[in-house]
Amino acid sequence: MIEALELRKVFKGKTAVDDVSFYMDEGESVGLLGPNGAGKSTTISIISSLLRPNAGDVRLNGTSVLGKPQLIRQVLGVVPQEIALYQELSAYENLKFFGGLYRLGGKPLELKIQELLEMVGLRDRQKELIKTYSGGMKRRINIAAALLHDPKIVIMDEPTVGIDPQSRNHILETVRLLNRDRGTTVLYTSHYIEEVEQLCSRIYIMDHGRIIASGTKEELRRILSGEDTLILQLDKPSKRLTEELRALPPIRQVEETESGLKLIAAKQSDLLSQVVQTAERHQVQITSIHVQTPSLEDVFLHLTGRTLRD
Amino acid sequence: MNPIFLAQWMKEKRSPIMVLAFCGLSILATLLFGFGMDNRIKIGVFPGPGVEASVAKQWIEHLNEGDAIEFFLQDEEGARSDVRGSRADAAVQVMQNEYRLIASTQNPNVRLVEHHLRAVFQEELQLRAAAAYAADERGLREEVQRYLEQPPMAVEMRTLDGSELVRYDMGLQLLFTFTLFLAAFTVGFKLNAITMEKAAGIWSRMILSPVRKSEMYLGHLFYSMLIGFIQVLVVFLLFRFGIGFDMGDHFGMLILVAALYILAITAFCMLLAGIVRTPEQFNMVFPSLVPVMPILSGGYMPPGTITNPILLGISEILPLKHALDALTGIAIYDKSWLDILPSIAKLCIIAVICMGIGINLMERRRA
Amino acid sequence: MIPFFKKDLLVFWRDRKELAVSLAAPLILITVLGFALPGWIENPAKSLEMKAALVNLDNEAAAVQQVQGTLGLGSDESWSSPVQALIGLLQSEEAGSFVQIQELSSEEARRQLEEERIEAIITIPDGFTLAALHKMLLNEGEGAALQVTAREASLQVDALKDLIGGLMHAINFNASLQHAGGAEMAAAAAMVLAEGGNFGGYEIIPGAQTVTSFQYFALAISIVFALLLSTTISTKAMAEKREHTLQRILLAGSRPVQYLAGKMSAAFCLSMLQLTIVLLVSHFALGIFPGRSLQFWLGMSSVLLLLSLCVGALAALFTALVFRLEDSVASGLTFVIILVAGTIGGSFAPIYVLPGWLKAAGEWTPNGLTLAVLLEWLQTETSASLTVPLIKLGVFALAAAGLAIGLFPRRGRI
Repeated sequence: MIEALELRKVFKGKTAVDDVSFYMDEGESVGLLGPNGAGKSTTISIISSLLRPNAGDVRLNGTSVLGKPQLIRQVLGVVPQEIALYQELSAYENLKFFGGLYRLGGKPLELKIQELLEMVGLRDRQKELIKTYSGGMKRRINIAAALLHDPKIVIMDEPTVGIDPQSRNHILETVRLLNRDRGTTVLYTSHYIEEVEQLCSRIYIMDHGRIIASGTKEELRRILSGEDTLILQLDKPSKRLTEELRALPPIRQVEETESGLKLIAAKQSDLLSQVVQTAERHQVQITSIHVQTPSLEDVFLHLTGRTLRD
Repeated sequence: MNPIFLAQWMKEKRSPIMVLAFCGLSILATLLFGFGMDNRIKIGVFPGPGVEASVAKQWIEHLNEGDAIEFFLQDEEGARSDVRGSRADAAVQVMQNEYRLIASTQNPNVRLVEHHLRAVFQEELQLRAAAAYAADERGLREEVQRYLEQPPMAVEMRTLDGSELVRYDMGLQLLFTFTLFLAAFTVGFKLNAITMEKAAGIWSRMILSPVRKSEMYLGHLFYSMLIGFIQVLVVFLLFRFGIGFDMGDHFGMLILVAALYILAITAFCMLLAGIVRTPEQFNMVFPSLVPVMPILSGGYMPPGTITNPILLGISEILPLKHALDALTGIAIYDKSWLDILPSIAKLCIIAVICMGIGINLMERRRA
Repeated sequence: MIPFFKKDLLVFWRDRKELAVSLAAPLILITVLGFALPGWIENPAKSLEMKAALVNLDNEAAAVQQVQGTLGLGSDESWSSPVQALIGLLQSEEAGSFVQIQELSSEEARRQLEEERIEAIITIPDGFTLAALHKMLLNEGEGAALQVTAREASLQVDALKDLIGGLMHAINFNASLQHAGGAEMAAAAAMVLAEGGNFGGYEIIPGAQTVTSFQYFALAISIVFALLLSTTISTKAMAEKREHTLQRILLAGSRPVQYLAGKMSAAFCLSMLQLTIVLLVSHFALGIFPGRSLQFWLGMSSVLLLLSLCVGALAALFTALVFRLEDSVASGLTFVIILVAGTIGGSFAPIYVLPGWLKAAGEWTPNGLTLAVLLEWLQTETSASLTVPLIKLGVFALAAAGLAIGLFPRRGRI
């Protein structure tokens, strides 16, 4: 339905987005995952026609929309990262205003507004001013304002940054509702892996302006199929042990956790015994060992050498 | 109705205190200036050593027969300290038949005062000398007074077409200057909503909607212009009909020129908003830029004071200068549309150029 | 407090473009205004120079003859001719200082006036002397009128009118005495004139010096920019509010007052820095305070020091407003305060155009007081005149700082 081809955007000599290509099919829910500053927001701005790329193309059903942004704007609902609402107006007034921008009015708009307020769970507080809302409530109205014109595609830029769990659940529920029940195509960016895992069928991982991996959750995990994740609990921390483990040939990554270590290592039969022996040599007791199938977090760590929240 | 315009209005309705306070204070400030706009030089008079206060009072009466300078009785210490602190141009010590002018500088006002003093004393002393020979001093004074009402010689002031030359009304010019100056503040303050909406992301949201760019700009521009215009209108109406200022016979023309000025100043603010990036920067640059405009436009000075060609050149690009030219032309000289056409044309050109560049800069920033 | 102070300075230092603007803008303004309006403050009349034409359509000789005939007087009788008196006046030194007169024909004068080559035409109409003498000597007729023609009213034309009007009045007055009291009284009055006017004295208060345009603008502009600095500092607090920096600061165990004190001292230092740089640069580049004593500089520094304290306190007050109110209301209120203080304090409009009572009101604002005090200091340099204003500025700073601390939200209320 929508595809981006080899997008490139340079700001003052700094490449923010480099050779980014991706596609979304109708009814799909796609996640765009990456740490802060990876280029997610820039990519979204290009797709939603707010920014022109230095190179590349954005196509809607095969037609380039770079020269005709109105084509994509009609079918698109964008939920920006910032709270793009008038703080001085009530939730209802904001929705009425943004509805007006889409040439909606009268009874249909009224119904739509009430429906959306119901959906985000703020119907009974619609008369209150946005500035009196909590962060999570503002975010929910921020989403509702993007849905007034029944967009076929909804792009959400980090809609859950810094909010309470209740609002977060509400938002995730809303996204699921949009995608599963209404068949809306959703592009969801986040640096929370759990959200993307829950919501999206396909995932793109971005870092430093590039897409470094893509596929379904399973496909991505398969990147690490030759590897194991070991969670060790130790009775005391030991720098020397960490160093020595890192030096072991099968071990790819060592990360210190609260009560021990997390290892990513190549699948190998004698891995466990190697680890145990090393620990004994340093007189460190292993209180538990847990072998994990890799998570997306691990995939990211594997690909970039750092965690998402670094 | 334009939804962007309406949104601005809705915001205002929610918290009208801000705009009311702002416009209210501006109007109040102009009124204060208007009421206090007494251009007369004020000179303190005190009696010399051993001279009765009644003598000083009598001299003050004679001195105040002219209308350019106001003399009032003051104690010596206060008068001298005012002169020393340049709160007054000069002070006068009067004796029975003498005066002593006390000043700290030789500025034109002092010269004017000296002239006046000299003339009044000379006349009064001549009258006293003559009265020594008269049986009826009061009769003599009255006769002189009557004679001078139809004197042998007079000066007539004419314009080129032979009509009477109107004395320039500096008070009116100051009133116009303050009104337009303060309205510029209001307009800028309102127009800053554009940069605020940009910072908040609302602007992007609107771009994505089917609303055209032109509608977005127009909504904001009209709103700022309307608020600024209402402010000027209220001030003009108050002065014309509330206080009864003489603003000439073409009130409608004044209003139209004011509207054009508001248009030009809105365009100027737009240019500034295009140059700066954030609302904070706008709030920083704008208040330091606007106060300079009336000075450069010569708004505080009588026409003809500024003769420096560079300064005159700079003032040409300022909307305030042309608006003042047109307004004073209409109110004081009773000029016609044709006479003020150059000023109006310049206002329009400034508006078009500033608006063009401003919007262009703003759009380019986004790419 | 020290870390806050450092942070605020650092934040300002990071934005060097802004710093450069806040230093360059006043310097440019001082230069432009100082050069553009030379002598406007010290001597506005300097720019009053004008050219005017004298058109004499009167036949004075014929008029004199006719009057002599009427009165039956001999031709050897001497006459004080009004036209000659006028020409004498126009050629005098007093008139020459601002008006250049040339005698032209009526048509030529009109053409030059239309072409804006001259400012005014003085026309002595046909029959002027006759009508004037008739009225003077015989008290017949309505007298005569001289015409001054100009394109439009201006200061120059007014001055010319006052000059000629003064002469006319003197002659008229003399004639009125003749008329009312006869020759004897007129002669007695003429004695007063002949004595040469020993009735007037002139006293220049010693020590006073003229304030030049450059000095006025240098002071007024650097003061207004110092004032604006307080809003700049508080604007930066807006970002800190938005990004919840303050919460973090408080969580780290600092007291809100320390945060405010940091703002205050940063504004104080920046204001001192700006004032010092602007005034010193303009002094050395333009030589605006030549040959001043050490005492002068010390006095000025102490006033500016206290002004900077006021700027610091205002910055704190505006910061408190930012945290107390909504952004738009806070910035609007700040705007209004600056606007009012700036206007009546003579920072935006030159104090010389303000009505007297507003000038007096302006001395209750820190910027207005500073400007007034420094102008007086420039002229007199008597240290007694500084004490009271310095105390006033100090009190203002304390009051503003107190208000800021009072308004600033307590811990746990942010």
